[in-house]
Amino acid sequence: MAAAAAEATIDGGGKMIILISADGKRFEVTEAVASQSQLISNMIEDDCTENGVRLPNVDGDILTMVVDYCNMHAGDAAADGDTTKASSTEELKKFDAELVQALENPVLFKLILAANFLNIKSLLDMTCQRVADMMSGKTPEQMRETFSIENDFTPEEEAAIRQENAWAFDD
Amino acid sequence: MAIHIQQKRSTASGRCHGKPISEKGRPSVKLEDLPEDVLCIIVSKLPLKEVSRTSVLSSSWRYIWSICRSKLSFSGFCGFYDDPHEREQYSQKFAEKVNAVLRKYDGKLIEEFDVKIEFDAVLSDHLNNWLTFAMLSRTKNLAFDLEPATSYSWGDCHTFPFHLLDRESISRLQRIQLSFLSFKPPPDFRGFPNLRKLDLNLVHLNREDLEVMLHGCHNLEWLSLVRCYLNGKLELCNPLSRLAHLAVIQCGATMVEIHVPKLANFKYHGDFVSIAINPTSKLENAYIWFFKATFEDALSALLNGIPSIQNLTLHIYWLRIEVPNVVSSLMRAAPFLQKLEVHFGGNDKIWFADQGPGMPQLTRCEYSCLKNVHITGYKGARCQIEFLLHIVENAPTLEALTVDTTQVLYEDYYGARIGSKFSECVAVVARDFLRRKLPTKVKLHVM
Repeated sequence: MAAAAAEATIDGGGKMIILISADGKRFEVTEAVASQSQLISNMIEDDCTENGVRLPNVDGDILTMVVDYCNMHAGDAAADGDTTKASSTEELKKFDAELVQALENPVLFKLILAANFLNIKSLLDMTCQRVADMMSGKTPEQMRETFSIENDFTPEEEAAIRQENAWAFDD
Repeated sequence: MAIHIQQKRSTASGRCHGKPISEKGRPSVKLEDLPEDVLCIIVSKLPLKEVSRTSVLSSSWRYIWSICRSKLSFSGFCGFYDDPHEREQYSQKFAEKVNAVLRKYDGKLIEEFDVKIEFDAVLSDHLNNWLTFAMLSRTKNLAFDLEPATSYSWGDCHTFPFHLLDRESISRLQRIQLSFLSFKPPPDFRGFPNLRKLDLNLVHLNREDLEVMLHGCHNLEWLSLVRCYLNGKLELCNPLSRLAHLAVIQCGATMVEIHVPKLANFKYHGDFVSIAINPTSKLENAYIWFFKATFEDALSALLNGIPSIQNLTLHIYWLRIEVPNVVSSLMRAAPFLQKLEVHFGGNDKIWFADQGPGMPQLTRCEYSCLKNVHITGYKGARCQIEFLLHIVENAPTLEALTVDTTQVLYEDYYGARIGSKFSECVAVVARDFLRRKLPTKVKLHVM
């Protein structure tokens, strides 16, 4: 049945591919959409997507976000003149911001892991940027709080490290 | 123009591979659970100051920021522009592009900073700014690989801006590569204490300044001087206790004296000068290319330097009849030699030349370690044949002998044409001569 689906086409979108999440959810996407993942793009080249692509590292809820992202950005690679499919830059920015803005930390990190595993460079970059933005402008104490980092240094050890990198702490 | 921004990606990034993220009972993912290369992407987006503050967060964060180092490398090529005005425009454009990239990396950690471009005066201020940028970015490896704009007239070169280095950045530098620059350390300059590798090509410098500076580079392991006019005796001594690789190529040195304990590889290309190497050094490989070889006087000085050497490559640009004498005495001076390569140069007059000293002048002695001999530029000259026979008769441990008629060193067009006719004949002669003398266990290749 998956094979039949893989043969199916939608107008102009080429072949369809089935992605299967860790918890068994199935997502049907076009090759063009799925190819944003370098991992899947390589699998397509090697002709091993016939029976669906199992992604044991990615949960269904995370894969939903990834597929949404890829559907939205599928136009990025399209020719400049093809404005019908490609979403406008403005729209994309808004979409990206909304995608990561509301996420709880653990979910954001899972999304990063998925982007890293699937090797989707733009998604990885965008999610990493979000984390960097969250770190920016914070004192070490605030960073620990934001990311639930447990300080396992003794006060003496911490003082020694601060001393070592004194230039970074002198405000 | 190529601009490469390379982020070192850790190879041990597989933390997420093969392990289901959704594993039941697993605590939720934390920031430090992300693979190292992902953390590197994150910290590379932050200003250096903020990144380095993460070192106090926890023990797992202690070194993350320092592992995530990146490299900026810019290269341009304006060889197409003969017109100075066009070249200036190209250089200006190049500088603008570099500056645009640097703005993005302002305040970030850049471990390695390389610029490669033909030098134009319009770049002077930019080069100084880029050095300042590199120092602020805590660069450890710096390359200013400049070239003269035209090969026929070098013109002025840029002066390396020592005044822009502070004490901290001087001690941070581990590798410096400079080409086509003027290198004048200020009188009170005391060297780069952590420098491991110094590569100077076509650099204008003063020999005394260089020696003084090197005295302060205690950690130097690798030194290459190419076309840096020294105008005198180069003397390298004790403070360079870690120096293992030394190359002195076409520097116009009148004498080379090396008293460093760990020298393992030595490369020399230039006029025949006295080369004295500390006899207790651990020299294993020497690669020596004499440009104008008149050997007699200075020979003993060179020989004293290399008793422990195992591999020796000699390039002899113009074949003289006394060459076999020289090579055999060389080998007496280096009793542990295992591999000898001799590349003969010379013109077509050498073919089958029948002149020079005969065998009697070569004293009999055993080369007890010699296993492998390879010569190129073999032209059937009597001195060459006798040299080969001498080796064969005096090297009981010889395993392989390669005689190549191809001339690796310079040969002119006509010489090559004549050579192609003769090479087969000389090969036959050599094979014939050597077969008779050679023990059967020795592999003989005649090409």
